[in-house]
Amino acid sequence: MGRKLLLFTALLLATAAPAAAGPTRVVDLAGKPVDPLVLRAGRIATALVFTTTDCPISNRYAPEVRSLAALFEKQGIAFTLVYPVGTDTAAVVREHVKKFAYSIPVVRDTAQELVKHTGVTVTPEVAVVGAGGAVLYRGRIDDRYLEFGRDRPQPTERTLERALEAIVQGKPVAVRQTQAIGCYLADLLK
Amino acid sequence: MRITALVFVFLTSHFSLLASVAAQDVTFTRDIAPIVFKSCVSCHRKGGPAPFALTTYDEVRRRATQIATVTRSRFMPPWKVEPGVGHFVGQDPLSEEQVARLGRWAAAGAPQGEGALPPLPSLPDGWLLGQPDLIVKPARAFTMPAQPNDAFRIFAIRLPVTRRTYVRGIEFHPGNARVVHHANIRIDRTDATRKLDEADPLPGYDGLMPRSAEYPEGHFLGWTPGQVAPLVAPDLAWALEPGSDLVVQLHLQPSGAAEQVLPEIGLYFSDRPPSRIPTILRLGSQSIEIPAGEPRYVIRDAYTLPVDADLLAVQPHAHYRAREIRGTAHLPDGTSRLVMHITDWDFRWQHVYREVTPIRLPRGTRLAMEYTYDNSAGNVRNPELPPAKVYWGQRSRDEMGDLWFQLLATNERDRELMRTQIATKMTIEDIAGYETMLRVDPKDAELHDDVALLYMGVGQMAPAVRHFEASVALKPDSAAARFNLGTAQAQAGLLEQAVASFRAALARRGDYALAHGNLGQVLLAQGKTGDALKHLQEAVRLDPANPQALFGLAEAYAASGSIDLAIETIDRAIKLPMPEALATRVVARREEYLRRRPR
Repeated sequence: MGRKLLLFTALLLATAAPAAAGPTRVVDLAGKPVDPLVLRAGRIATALVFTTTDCPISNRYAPEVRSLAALFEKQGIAFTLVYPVGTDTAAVVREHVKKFAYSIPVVRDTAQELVKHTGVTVTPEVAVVGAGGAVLYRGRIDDRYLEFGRDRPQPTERTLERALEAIVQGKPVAVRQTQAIGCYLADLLK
Repeated sequence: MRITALVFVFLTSHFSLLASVAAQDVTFTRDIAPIVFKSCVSCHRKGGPAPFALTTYDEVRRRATQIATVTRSRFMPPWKVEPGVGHFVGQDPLSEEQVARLGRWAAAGAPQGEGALPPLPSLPDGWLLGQPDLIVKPARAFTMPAQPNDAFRIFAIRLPVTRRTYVRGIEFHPGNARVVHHANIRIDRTDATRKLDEADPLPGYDGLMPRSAEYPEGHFLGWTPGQVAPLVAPDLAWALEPGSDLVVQLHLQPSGAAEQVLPEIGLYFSDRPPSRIPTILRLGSQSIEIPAGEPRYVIRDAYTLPVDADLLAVQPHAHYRAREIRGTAHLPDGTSRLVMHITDWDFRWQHVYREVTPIRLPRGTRLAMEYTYDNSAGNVRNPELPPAKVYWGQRSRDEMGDLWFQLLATNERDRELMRTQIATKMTIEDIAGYETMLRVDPKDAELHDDVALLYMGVGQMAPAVRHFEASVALKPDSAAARFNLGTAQAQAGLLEQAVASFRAALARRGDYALAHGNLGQVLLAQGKTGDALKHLQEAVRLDPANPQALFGLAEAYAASGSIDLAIETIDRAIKLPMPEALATRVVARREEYLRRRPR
């Protein structure tokens, strides 16, 4: 048991390591480079919500993302929308943000630096990063979707919300990684 | 054991070697486009009912893994019926080889390949069935708010036809494919749906369709993505009466943003009345009552055809807890065949399954249905967690279980026998549905009224009286409730009680013409001619255009010996429109009066 724990810590450090360099090509909608892995003052973590403008499942989660952001911004969690696909240009993203009434900060990650750092594979998928860029949670928002065409009328587990609650309370996140269902980034990034 | 394992390893590695060789030469141009263009683009195109297009290499490449996933799970193309059951219009499942090919292509990185693409099928942007004779839509668009959950919305759309019109079919355009998932469509010859629509300040309303919103006689209406019901032959067109509304219930799935919803419906007319009318049979149970957590709850129903008939189409209907749908035709020769079988029922894909070639079912064929429900937490589609007891009902949180058959009597003269039998069978099941709703809500007076009327329709007066009594107890001040009770009591032969009920109705509303009329007729039957005459005169004074009251008054005059007055009164009745059964009696009685007139 002790040995496993040690290994685990080592892995954590390894994940956190690349953040030292930091992304260099992530930009906001004005084209200005930004680094969402650096926590702003007073924030304890950042939820990076990866999305693509033409992914129906990702879009369907917009109201849920907005309400989680409203709930947790007050508790020290920053929310940032991340658009990792090149065809989602600044103009396309601006339109999308307006249509889905997002009011949280937006970045474009068209070199997929944040994708690689966090290991997300689909949209919508969320990575919660803490100090030093450590990934505290990665995966689905909730368990509404089991697979394409098979979803629950309402979620039975609000996975992201549970993770954020733990982080706010300074407790370890019980479920650190889940499989999100959505549009595969691998196809979009080819 | 060890040897087997070794062999297995060898085979696996050998196999993956083959697969990777094959993968290299799976290209979009040669291998994938023919599948996608044949089986996907009829919906996945610009302006189509699917949420995104798959008409170019780039569009398909961007969803390669998703396509491989959803075709492997058979979520797409959407076809819920088990292989080997029926031969339906639009049935075009992918072969195992095609599914495997899509998977290999995605795994190989979705290569484009070289050469020319196969041509895209030509799909008009507008009406697939051609220019409609009439296009209607709701007066205003409904704005679906950005919300996490599904919604339902019912619209009553006025159909501007001024005379009886015959319809060969409709085409439904969702207007907003991002949110409109499917549509239930009915015709309401009354203003019941329209009143509900108007009562809601927003376009359409959320709730139930009234009973008067029905399928046109003998035909299904409805829409699921990708389904365009072909026009029926002109000799099968259905009659649309002037003043009818088209009732459209939309199942809306959220897109994440506020969305405008304005569907459009095209109607296609026939220039002549039908020579044949199909009959709709509904099998099922309205006594559904599933305990919380019950993982396997089964309902069954059956009907034996009294005549030879052709099966034209089948439509299953159930809500979220149904899992397996089974419909079987047991033929008189002892054989049977599945006519519907779905093992993973999904409320969202309620197709009407139309047979390419009608199935001949000889007289004596037993059509049977069996549905299985899972009301446990293990059913991911269960809308209530923790699971709760669920009853039959039409709201999506209730449960239903219907299997509809469209049957065409082989000989048109046989149709009436089958139609009457089926109408009675379905009314009896409707009654069961009301009794179920009353178990949930025993204090709903309107449910008591409705079910009492259904009981009267099938000649069961005792339960009709019982339900009207319950209604009176719930609405003691209502004159109408007393009147209804009196009418049922009179038909049940309970004349004394009927008199008391009508008098109670009149005590609450003195100018209640119908109550005076019915009371007069009961008193007449009791031989109390003088009192009867008084009430029937009052009924006619209050409503001079009611042929039933005039006839009753004529009978009272005849009974009291005033034959000239009886003739004068029945002559007034005879000029009024009235149901055929009453007209026959009126004419016969008039002859009788004339014979009795002193010369």
